[in-house]
Amino acid sequence: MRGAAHFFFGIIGLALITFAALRLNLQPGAVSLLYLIIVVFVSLGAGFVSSIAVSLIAVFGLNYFFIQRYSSSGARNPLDIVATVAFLITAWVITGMVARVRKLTEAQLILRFEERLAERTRIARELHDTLLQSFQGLMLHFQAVNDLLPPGKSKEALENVLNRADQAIVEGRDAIQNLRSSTTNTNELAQAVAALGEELAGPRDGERPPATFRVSVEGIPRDLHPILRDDIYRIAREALRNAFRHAQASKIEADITYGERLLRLRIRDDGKGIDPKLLDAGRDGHWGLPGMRERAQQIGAQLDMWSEVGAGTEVELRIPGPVAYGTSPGRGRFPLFRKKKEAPQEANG
Amino acid sequence: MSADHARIRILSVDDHPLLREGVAALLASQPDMTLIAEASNGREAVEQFRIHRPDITLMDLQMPEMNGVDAMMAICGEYPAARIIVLTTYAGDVQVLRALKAGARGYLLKGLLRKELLETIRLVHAGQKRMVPEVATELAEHAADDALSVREIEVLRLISGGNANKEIAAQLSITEETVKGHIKNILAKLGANDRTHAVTIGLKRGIIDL
Repeated sequence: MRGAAHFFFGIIGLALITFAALRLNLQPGAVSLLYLIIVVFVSLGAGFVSSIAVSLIAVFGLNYFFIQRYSSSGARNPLDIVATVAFLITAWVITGMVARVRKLTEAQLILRFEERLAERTRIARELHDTLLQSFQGLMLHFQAVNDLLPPGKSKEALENVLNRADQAIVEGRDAIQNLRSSTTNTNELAQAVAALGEELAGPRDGERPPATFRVSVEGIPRDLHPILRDDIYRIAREALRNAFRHAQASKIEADITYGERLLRLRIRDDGKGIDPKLLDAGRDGHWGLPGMRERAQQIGAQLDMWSEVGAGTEVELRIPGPVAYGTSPGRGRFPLFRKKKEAPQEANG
Repeated sequence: MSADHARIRILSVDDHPLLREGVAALLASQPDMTLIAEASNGREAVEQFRIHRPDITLMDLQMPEMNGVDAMMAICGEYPAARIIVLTTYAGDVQVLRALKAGARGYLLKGLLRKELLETIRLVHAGQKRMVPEVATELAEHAADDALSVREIEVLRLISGGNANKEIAAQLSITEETVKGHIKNILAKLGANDRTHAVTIGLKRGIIDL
């Protein structure tokens, strides 16, 4: 079940609070606030059924242990129903608001990808229309000058330079074209990462045999936004490069998990490891760590690294599912707060 | 025979001034050629052609107002004997085909101009057709391929603009399912792995422009 962990922790949390509150003789108001936190926590993380279940348990606990059902005169205390309803509504509203803010943040990230793609396209077009055309025009000028020169050493030298310049312009042209398309030619992240590993493992002047490299995929691969994919790919490249070049590892592994709530990329090696102090500081752009962190931050991803001298290194990149796949958050959250117009979601994951 | 009479009269069409200047500089040193007019877009090119009737027209493809292909069609419609050489940056087979259909007699890459331009002008003026090997190879490679339909090209262009299926469907007033069908066809026809790959191929082959 989705969010089973949230549900489980929620139940434990409620039990602990109840126990502590009874021991400490807390006021019903304080207890309901604590319950509220648990209910919101579960509702944000788990599915609809779990949220309802936890809410009901909380309401029951509140009523059973803390609210006086009957006043001293024996009549039913009308406040218990009011308190219950108020509790539920508050939990519901807070959950809805937090979910909404979260969704907006995700939407903003996705928008930023679009902007970056548009920006790149603009740069490519601009370079093509200005710089490239100018250079090509200048080459014709140079050729005209070359034609004026009498045969001899200087003409030869100029001819050589012009040939070099031709190559440079072709490189520039291709770079501009590539700017437009993405660095990875395939949407299949696993494939791209595997190709990367192959490339890095390729012929070296190796006094030691290259590390064995394995890529594994969990879950059904899903389409990623080109910009996001580019950034993930670059982070993976940096991590793999470290593993292959610096770690002196014998085994390197990359795991990609396409989860509903999370896209996760994990790269592990059994090499010599990085000093944890360096890991934190990322000194002098060593191992490209600051670049990786920066990139991760830009795409709203969480980047974690663990390493110890002699114990290998592990890099984990986690991207919230809605950001990674460009979809709205998963089903089963207080439906009233979700936008009405929503495409039917495929039932995967 | 006067020298002027034998000269090849040339119209140069490109929206970029520095490139036109370069062409002018190169032609200026040639005793058998003379640059009689320049134009900076397709519409001007058609006008200048009507006025001067050049022997050879050098035509850029990507231009504002009216692009090179449309200008060529207009010119060749009026003057079927017009000899036009296309100058462009990329060697996409689809773009080449479009240019050839529009009436181009020669196809040159701007990166190769300084070595190929003069010879090509002379050859085309002599009645031959000329295509640099790089372009010819590109053309041959995809000769047997299924061409994309007009709708598929539209979809591909929208994909390249970073649109999601939903947005493409809205813009073309078709359902998302239909868009998915088009994309499936596009991927199959281009031999692409995915959308981005298809855009890369589309750009390379000149199916869509930058």
